[in-house]
Amino acid sequence: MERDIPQSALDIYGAQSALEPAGFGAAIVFDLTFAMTVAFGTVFVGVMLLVWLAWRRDRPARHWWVWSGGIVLPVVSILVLMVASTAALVAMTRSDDTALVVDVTGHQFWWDLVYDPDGLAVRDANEMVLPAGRPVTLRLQSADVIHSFWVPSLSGKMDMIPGRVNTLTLTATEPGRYRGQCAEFCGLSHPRMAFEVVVLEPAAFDRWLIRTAGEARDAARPELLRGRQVFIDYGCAACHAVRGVATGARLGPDLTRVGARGSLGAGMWRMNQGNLAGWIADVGDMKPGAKMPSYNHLSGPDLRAVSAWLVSLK
Amino acid sequence: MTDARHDPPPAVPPRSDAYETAPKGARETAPKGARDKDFEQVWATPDGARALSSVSHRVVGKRFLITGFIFFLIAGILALLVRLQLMVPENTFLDSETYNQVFTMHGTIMMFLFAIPMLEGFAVYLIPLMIGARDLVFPRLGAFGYYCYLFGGIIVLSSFVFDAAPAGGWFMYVPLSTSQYTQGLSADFWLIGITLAEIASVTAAIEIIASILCSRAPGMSLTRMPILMWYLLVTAFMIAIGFPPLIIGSILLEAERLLGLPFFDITQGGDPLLWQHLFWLFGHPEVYIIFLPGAGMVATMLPVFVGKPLFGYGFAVAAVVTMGFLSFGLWAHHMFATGLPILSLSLFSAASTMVAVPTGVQIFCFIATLSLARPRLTVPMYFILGFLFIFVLGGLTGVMLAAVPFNLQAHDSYFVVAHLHYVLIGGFVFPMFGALYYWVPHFTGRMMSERLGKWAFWLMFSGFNLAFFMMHLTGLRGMPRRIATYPADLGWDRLNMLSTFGAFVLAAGIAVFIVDFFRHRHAGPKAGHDPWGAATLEWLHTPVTPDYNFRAIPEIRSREPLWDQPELTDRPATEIAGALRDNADHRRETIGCDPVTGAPVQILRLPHPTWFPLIAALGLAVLFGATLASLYWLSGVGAGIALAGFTGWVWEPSDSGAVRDSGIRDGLELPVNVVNRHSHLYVGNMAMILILFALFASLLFAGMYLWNTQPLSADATQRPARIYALLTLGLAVVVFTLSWMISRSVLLGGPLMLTAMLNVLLAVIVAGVALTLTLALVPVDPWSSAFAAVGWTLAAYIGALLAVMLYWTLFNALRKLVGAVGPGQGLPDFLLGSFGKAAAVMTAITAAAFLFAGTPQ
Amino acid sequence: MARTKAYAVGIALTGAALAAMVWSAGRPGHGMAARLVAHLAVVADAAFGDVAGWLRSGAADGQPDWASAAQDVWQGDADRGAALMVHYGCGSCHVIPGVTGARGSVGPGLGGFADRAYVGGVLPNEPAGLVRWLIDPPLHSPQTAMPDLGVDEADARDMAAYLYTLRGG
Repeated sequence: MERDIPQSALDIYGAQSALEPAGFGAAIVFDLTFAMTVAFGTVFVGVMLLVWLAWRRDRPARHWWVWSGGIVLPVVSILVLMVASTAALVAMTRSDDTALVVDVTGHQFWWDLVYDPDGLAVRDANEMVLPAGRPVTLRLQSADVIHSFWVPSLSGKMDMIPGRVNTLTLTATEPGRYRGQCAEFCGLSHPRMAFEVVVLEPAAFDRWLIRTAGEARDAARPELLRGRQVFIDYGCAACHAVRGVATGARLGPDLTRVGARGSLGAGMWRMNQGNLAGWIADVGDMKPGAKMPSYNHLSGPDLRAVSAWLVSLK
Repeated sequence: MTDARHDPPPAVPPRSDAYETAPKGARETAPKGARDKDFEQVWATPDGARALSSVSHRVVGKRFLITGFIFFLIAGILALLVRLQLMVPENTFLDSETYNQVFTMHGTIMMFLFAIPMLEGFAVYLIPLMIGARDLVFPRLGAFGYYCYLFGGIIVLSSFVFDAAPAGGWFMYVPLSTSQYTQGLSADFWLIGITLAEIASVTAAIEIIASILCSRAPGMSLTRMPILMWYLLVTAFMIAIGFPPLIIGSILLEAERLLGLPFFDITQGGDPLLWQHLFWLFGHPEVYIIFLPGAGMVATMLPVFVGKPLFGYGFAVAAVVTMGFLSFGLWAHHMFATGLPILSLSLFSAASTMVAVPTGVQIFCFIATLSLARPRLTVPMYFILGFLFIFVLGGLTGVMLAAVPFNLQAHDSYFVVAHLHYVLIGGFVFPMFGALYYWVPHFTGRMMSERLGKWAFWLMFSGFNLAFFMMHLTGLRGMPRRIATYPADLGWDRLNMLSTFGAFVLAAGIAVFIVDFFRHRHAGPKAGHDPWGAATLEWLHTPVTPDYNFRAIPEIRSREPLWDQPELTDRPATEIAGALRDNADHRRETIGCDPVTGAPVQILRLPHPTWFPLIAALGLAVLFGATLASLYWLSGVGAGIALAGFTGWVWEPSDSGAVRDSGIRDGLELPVNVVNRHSHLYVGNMAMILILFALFASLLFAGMYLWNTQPLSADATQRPARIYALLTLGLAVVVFTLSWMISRSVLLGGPLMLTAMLNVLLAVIVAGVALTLTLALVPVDPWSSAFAAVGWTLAAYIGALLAVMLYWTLFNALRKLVGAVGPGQGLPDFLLGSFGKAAAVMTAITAAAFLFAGTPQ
Repeated sequence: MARTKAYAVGIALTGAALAAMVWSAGRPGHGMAARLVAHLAVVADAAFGDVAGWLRSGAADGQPDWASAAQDVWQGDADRGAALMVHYGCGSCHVIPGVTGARGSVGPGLGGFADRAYVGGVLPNEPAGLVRWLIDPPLHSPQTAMPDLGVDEADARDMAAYLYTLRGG
C-alpha cells in the first residue's frame, strides 16, 4: 500500500475532456475546434468593431456593407467550414475491417461489453480496455432507453438507441486511463452512469484479453470461500455472471474481473472493499433507480465475506 | 361583391352576448360631443370582474405579457435552484429526482409558457396599433387563446403540487417518457398541459396572419408596413406549420401512455426516433419563432434611436422570409449523434450553416442603420447593443455546432447549454427587456427610470456573460447536460461556481427591473406625446391610447407615418381625418383592406365584450384536466361546456349584405363583412386549414417514416379493407363536390332553400364517410403494430374533421331554418365550402393511403 | 468627470470579470477543491453549530484544555485522514461531514463523532480505541458489517485525527 495516497476522490483518471485528446477522432476535432474558435472569434471581434465604428461614424453605410457582411462573408466562411468539417468527418468515420469489434449495450445505468462477439466473445462491464493505435469498432445498442457513449478524450459521441445498432469507430493513440459518461438523459441516475476506458499497449491488450476470457480468478484464499458461497446462496447469480462460478445471467454486469476494475457503480466510486460493501448493502441509496436491490438482509460477517471475495476477483 | 349594395341597415339583430352595446361603467373622458361620447361607450372596457369578458386586443395583450412574465420569473427561480445544486461538486441540495423535475420544468416553462406567450402578447397588443386598426380581426379568438394558455399553464404548474412534476427533460425523449419507464402522471401533466397551452399559439398564429393581411389602414401596402409586421407575419406562418408536428407527437405519446398504442415500441414496429423527428421538426422552427419577434422589435426600436429609417428594409424582409423557409430544413442537426446516414449529416450540416446568411443580413442591416446618424443611448438602446453582442456570439457558436465532427463532441454537453442561452437570451430576452422599457410607457402612460434601467442592463449583461461564457469551456471539458451532480476535480468545479455566481447577478438585474416597474407606476414621469420620437402609428395618441386606438383611421402614405405625414402630428389625435369617424350602427368596427395593396375593401365588424371565449376555454380545461385525472365522465362534461361555449360564440347575426360610407376618399362606400376571398374570415379560415394540413402531414410523415424504417413490421400489419377504402375515396369526392357547390351557391346568390338542402345532404354524406372509414379499418388491430396505430390515428384525425363538418353544416342549416340568415349573408357557408374541400382532400389522401396499404406488395 | 469615473469603474469591473473567468478555467491541484469545501464545512459547523458545545470544548478560562487533549491523536494528520476516507471508501456506508461524496446510510453517520462515548458500540471513544477499531473492526465486533480493509496504523491515526474534528453534530 503506497504512502502517497491520491489526493482526490477519483484521481485515477487521465482525462474526460475534448481538449485533452488521446484518440484519433478527438485529435481531429481538437484541431477543428481550435481553428473554428480562432476564426469565429476573429469574426466576432470584427463585427463588434464594426458596431463601434458604425456608432461613431458620420458617413452612412452603403448597400455593399450588407452584401459583404451579410452574404459574402458568411458564404465564404461557410464553404471553408463545410470543406474542413466534411473532410474531418470522413476521416473520423472511416471504418476498418480489421478493427477489433466490441458490442456495447447501454442499460439503466451501466454498460455491458462483449469483446470480439463473433470470436472470443469475452463479456465484461463498465470498464473498457482497448489497444492503443488499433481501430476499434463499437457496435452500440441499448437495452432500454436512449443512452449515449461518450469518451471526450478519445472521440465524439454516438447515441445508443433501442432497436438499432449504431457504429462508432475509434482509435486510441496513447495508453492511459480515460473517463467517459452517458451523454443522453436516461433517467434518475443518468449523472451516475459513467465508465472508464483503459488503453494498453497492443501486446499488453492481447494478453489481457486472453486472460480475461478465462474463468474468474479469485485469490484462492480459504477465508474467501465463505464469500463465494454467500454469492451463490443469496442468488446473486440470478443477475450477475462470474465465469467459472455462475454463468448465463445477463441482467446485471458481468463480475468475472470486477475487483480489477478501477471503479464501481459505472465509473462513480473507487473499487475497494469498503465501497463494495456499501454498494451491496444499500445500492438504492448510492444509485437511485438502479435495478439491483439493496442486500441489507445480509449479516455483517456475510457482507464482509462477499465483498472481500468480489474485490479479489481480478 | 354582393348585389345588395344600398340596402337599408339590417333589422335590429337578435340579442346575443357579443352585441351588447353600452357596456356598464364606461369610462368618461374629457368633454366631447355626443357622437364622441357614444363612440367611446361602444369601445369602453368593462369594469371590475366583467373585465374578464373583455376581448379587446390591448387587454388580452397585456394579459399575455403579465402572465408570461410571471412564468418567466418562476422558471428563473427554477434555474437558480439548478445553479445552486451545481455550484459545488457532489452537492446534496437537491436529490436526483427533484433536480430532474426542476430542470425539466425550467426548460418547459421558459419555452412554452414564457417565450411564445410573451411574443404573442407583444404581437396582440402592437399589431392593430401599428397597422392602424381598432382591434385584431378575431378578438374572441385571442381571448380564448389566452385562457387556454392560462389554464394549460396552471395544469403544468400544478404538477408540482401533486408531486408529479415531469422529470424527463423539456424534450421528453422516448422510450424514457413512455409508460414503461415513466410511471405515474408526470409525463401526462406535461403532454396534456402543454397541448392545451399550445392552442393559444396556433390561434394567435391565425389571428396574426388574418389581421396583418386584412385590417391595415387604407394605403398601407405590404411594403409600407412596419418591419415588425413582416417579422410577425413570417413568425405566424412558422407557428402554423411548425407547431403541428409537436401537437401530433404529443397526441401520439399521450395515446401510448393512456391507451398503450405502440408508436415508439421497437418490439412492435415502433421507433424512438420518430418522436425525435416530430419533436425537432417543431423544435427547430420554434427557436426561430422565438428569435424573429425579438429581432423585429430591435428593427423597430433601433431606427427610432438613430432617427433614420431602417437601412435595407427590402433586404431585411427578404432575409426574414428566407429564414422562415430555411428553418424547416434544419431539424436533424439536433440528431447528429443518433446514427443518421452520412448524406443526411452533410445536408443538414450545410443547411444549418446556410441559415447564418439571412441572419447575417439582418444583423448587418441593423449595424448599417446605426451608422446613419448619431444614435441616442437610451435604456432600450443598451439592450439592443446587448442583443448585438450576445446574439452574434451565440450565432457563431451555432455555426460551429453545425460542423458535424465538432457537434459529436459538443452535443449534449454544456457547450450547447451555453450556445442556446446565448441565442435565446441574446436574441429574445434582451430585446424583450428593451421592448418593455420602450413600450411600457404606452401601457401605463409613464416612463420607467433611466438610472435603474442602466443598472438593470449592466447587471443582466455582466451576470449573463459570467454565467454562460465559460460554460463553453465546461462543455468542451467533458461535462454532459442534465446531470444532477458531478465528481470533483474533473476541471468543472470552478467553472460551475462562477456560473452560479453569474446567474445570481443576472437575477439581481431582473429584480432591479421589477422594482423599477412597480415604482414607475406611481412615481415615473408622465410619458407625453411620442416620448421616444417614434415613427409608427401606435404613438399617434398620447399614452395611454384610448380604447378605440384611432378615432378615425388615417390614410397611410409612408413607412414612417409620424415622421413623414404632418397631418398626423399637427393636430390633436382625435381630430385627425380618416375613415369610420361616424358610428351610426353603434358597433365596433375597423377597415378591412386588400392584403397586398392595402386599398380599403370592406368594413370589418368586431365583437363586443363577451363571456363565450372564457366559457369555451374553461370547458376545454375541464376536458383536459379530467382526462389527466382519468375522470372520463368529467371529460365529457367539459366537452359539453366547450361545445356550448363555441355554439354561443358563433351564433351571432351576420352583418354582411349592407354597405356603408367609409368616410374617406369622397364618400367611398364599402360593404360590411364581405362574402368573398377578401373577407378576413376567409383568410383566417385559410390559415386554419393550413394548420390542419400541417397536422395531417405530420401524421402522414409518421406513417411513411415507420413504413420506411420498419418495413418488416409494416408489411406484417393487417391490411385495411380495400372495398371500404375505395368507397371512402368516392364519398370524399362527393364531399368535395358538395362543398364546392355550397360555396358557389353563396357566391352566386342562390336561394337559401337550395343551400340548406345541400347542407343536410353534406351532413348525411359526411356521416357516411365516417362509417366507411371506420369499416375500412376494422380488420386492423391498432395494438398490433406501430404502423397500424398510426393508421388508426389518421382515421381518428379525419374523424375529428368530419365531426366538425357535421356540426358546422347542420348548424348552418339550423340557422337558415330559424330565419337568422338574410340575403347576402352566406359567409358561414362560404367558409364551410373551403373547409369541406380541404377535409375532403385529406380524406381522399387517407383513403388512397389505406387503399395502397390494403394491396399486398 | 462623471464620464471618466464611469469608464474607470467599467474598466475595473470588466477586468475583475475577466480575471474571474480566467480563474474559473484553472485546474488546481487535485483535491484542493474538496479540501476547501471540507474546511469550509468544518468551519461552518464550528461557527454556527452548537455554541455551548464549542465553549465547553475550548479552554475559555485560561486553564489547560484537557478535553481536547484527550482526543489528540499522536502523529495524526486530519487533512490526510479525510482524503484517506475517500481512498478506503468509508463514504459509501457512512455520512461523513466534509468528505466529498460521503453519503452512505449503511452504517451510522459520523457527524459529531468526537462527542460519542463508544466506538462501534464496543470500544471507548479515545484515540487508542478508535485506531484499534479502524485497523480491524471484526476483531473487536465479530458480527459487524464493517470490513477489515487492511488499514495500517499510520493511516488509522490520520483518519482518527480527522474524526475527532467532527464536533457538535
